[in-house]
Amino acid sequence: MVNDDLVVRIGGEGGDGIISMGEILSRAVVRGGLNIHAYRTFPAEIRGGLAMFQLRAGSGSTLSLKQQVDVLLAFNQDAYNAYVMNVKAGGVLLFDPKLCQPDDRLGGREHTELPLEDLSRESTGDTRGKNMVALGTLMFLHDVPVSYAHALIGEFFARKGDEIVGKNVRAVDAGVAYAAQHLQKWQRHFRLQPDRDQILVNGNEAVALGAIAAGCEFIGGYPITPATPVFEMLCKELPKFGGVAVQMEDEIASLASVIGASFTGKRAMTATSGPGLSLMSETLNLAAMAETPVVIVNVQRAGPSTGMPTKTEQSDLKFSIYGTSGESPRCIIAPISVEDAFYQTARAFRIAERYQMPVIVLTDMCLAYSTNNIDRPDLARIEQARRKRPEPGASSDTFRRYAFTPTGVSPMPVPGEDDLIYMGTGLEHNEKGDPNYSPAMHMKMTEKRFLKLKTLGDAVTQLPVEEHMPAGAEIGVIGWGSTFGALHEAVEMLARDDGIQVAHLHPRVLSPLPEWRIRRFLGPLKKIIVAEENYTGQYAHFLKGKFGIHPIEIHKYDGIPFTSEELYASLKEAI
Amino acid sequence: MSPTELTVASYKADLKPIWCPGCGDYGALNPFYQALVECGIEPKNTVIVSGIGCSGRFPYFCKTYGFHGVHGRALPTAAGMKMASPNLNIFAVGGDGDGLGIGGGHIPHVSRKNIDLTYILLDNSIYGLTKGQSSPTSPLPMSSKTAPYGYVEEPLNPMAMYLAYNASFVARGFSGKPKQLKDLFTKAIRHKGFSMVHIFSPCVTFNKEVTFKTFNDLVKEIPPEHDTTNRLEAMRFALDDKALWTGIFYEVDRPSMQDRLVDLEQRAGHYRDLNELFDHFR
Repeated sequence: MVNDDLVVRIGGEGGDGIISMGEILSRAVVRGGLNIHAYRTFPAEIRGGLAMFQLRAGSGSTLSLKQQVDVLLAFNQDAYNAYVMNVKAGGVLLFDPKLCQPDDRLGGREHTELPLEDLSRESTGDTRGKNMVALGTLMFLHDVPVSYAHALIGEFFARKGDEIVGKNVRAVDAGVAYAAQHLQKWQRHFRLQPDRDQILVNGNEAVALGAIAAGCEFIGGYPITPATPVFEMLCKELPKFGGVAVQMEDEIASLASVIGASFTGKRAMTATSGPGLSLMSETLNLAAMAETPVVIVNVQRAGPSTGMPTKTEQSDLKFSIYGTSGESPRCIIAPISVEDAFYQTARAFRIAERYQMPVIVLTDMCLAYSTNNIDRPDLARIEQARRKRPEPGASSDTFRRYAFTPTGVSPMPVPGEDDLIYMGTGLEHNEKGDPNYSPAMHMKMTEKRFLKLKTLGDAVTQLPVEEHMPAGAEIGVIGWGSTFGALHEAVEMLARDDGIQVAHLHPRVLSPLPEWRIRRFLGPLKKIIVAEENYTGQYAHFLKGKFGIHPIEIHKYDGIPFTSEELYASLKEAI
Repeated sequence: MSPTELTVASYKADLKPIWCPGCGDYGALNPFYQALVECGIEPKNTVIVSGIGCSGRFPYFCKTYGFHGVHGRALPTAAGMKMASPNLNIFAVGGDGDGLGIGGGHIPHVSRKNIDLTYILLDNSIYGLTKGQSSPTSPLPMSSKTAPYGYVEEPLNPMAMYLAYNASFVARGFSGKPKQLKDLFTKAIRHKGFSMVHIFSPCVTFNKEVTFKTFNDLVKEIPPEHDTTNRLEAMRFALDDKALWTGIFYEVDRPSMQDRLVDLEQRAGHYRDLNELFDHFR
């Protein structure tokens, strides 16, 4: 059931400890047996400014963020003012009268005092524990045993010593006690499934873990919001798996170092966002031309140029597919959820290695900072692919690095291991790798490079796509990337509340596109809708060109992710 | 092939150099082959990386692995190779446009990282492949196709720059002095860490002002008593405007990136498998 959940938003000052509290709360309710979708926004300033954490928790699936919340916990006046209108009719506003003055009692939205500061002072002697008071209150509202929060506080603050742990636990207990007395009415009861073997990750973490699972051995990176955490996490974890993570002087050097690492036989990647990808465009083409496997994670942010670094958008699709000079093949994969980000990043490495081309993993700010509980990935399912190597006994006199083959893929030696020296090059070349500008050779090499893309396209069309095709549906919606959860739920709401059956397709590999799958989806439909988070309808444009369809387009370009309520309304209007 | 069987012929590629007859780059290529022999560098364990320009063709003429990348990015590409595969011998080759113009921003960072590779910079004070435009080392007021009324910019002092960046090995040679060049290459290859070999390599086709004669007149060998561990003294040779000094300016032994990455890995510790990391996300 879509509504079998509790949506809580906590807003306050950047330094209020809301985000760390949110992390503990998320983990505690997941360990206690709920499913969650957590999301945070960033204050524009490094410290200070409005910070927001939102948790959606329930027994059923929690695929997306929600616009309307059941509980708003305002740590200050700004948070109250910013979010009061997001509280559902029948929801509740919790506020500390010392920190926030509600100026009017809005109809249908109950206001209840939660004296964060007083409870913190009474239980710990100062007001710094107010986020822990909030944690206790929210643990109570979710009806998840507070012991899970206690255990996590022990883990989080272990290094700070018993006194700090004790203080935080007392603040949490004060929150629980207060809630039990005053907020009983708002408590929800869920079917709990504790002790599942699950992990709790956001999109960026899932990408980094997927890369490690796929056997990534090198990352050259440069910090850029919102992709930095992928790089940071690999700086921390990759050395523990024998890999190398290096911060380079800019994005150009980052991708150049990745190409260098890959040339020597290593699985290599970088992680960036739009402005960084712009700088990489020349080296990306080099990887395509020299047929060097590389994985580039592009965590999209909003707008051109510096734009809005901390906001989300799906506006780098065309740039990712086409944004280089000349014509060169590459693969674009857009994970559709946090869990998918793990598996698709791993897939990106397999494709890069097998087809010796750049693969761009296209996520976005929304996915990067959305947290879900997911089943512990089964590592046996992840193949650590290696590029095609020359046959044993190949002779250096006759070896052709860029040999024409039925798949377009040629054997790639590893320096130091294979005695088959050759030149990797961005110049047009012959099969051996020597420069060659003859008209016939350029045509044949262009065809060879695109033959790999065709071979990949044939493989991609065999992959399962996320498809929902109810019997008799005449209307279908297509989306891509992080909007999957919100679209899926909007389609469910249409079926449940309005009896309208809408088909839904959400391809993962965007280029080369799974042509046959899309044709089959389009076949029975009379009306097609394409929803995406950009102004110009980039994916719709791509589909129009390929399939000659005339879809209704839903565009959102305010930097804020789609919610299911929003999509429900937009779809209903479009229908 | 064992190192004892290696000869200059082992490194000469089938592809014949396409540089103009008399080009300074020939004067660098031959001593480079000799130094590879001297150091027993095995072709199959070696990659030479280049960018764009006449210098970009250098690796095609060497029978080792080669990578001809984009303009200005030979150094970070070579850096990636060495950091990922430390057992390989890595060289980067560039010109004054590739290395000091478009790619000049990479030298300080490879110096800081002290990545164990040798960078050969063939300086002809002109853009030769594009047929005669001004470069970062074109002297004032040399005219060129992009400075038809004379150059209005000061030339770089690359040696002072490398020393300021604290590259751990800084040397300069001249294509007209191949014996010295062979010696410089040999020492650069044996140096543990980043070695920078700057070479005056005149363009006989497009540069009529900075020529073999210029260097024959002005080049002087750094005297053997120079203490190559003294950076300040090295800087005096770099800043001397009365002579163009050649030889080893500076050489210091400090940990290379590879040494530091090995230490880092020890500090980081090890996971048995990814499940151990998953446990932190519960």
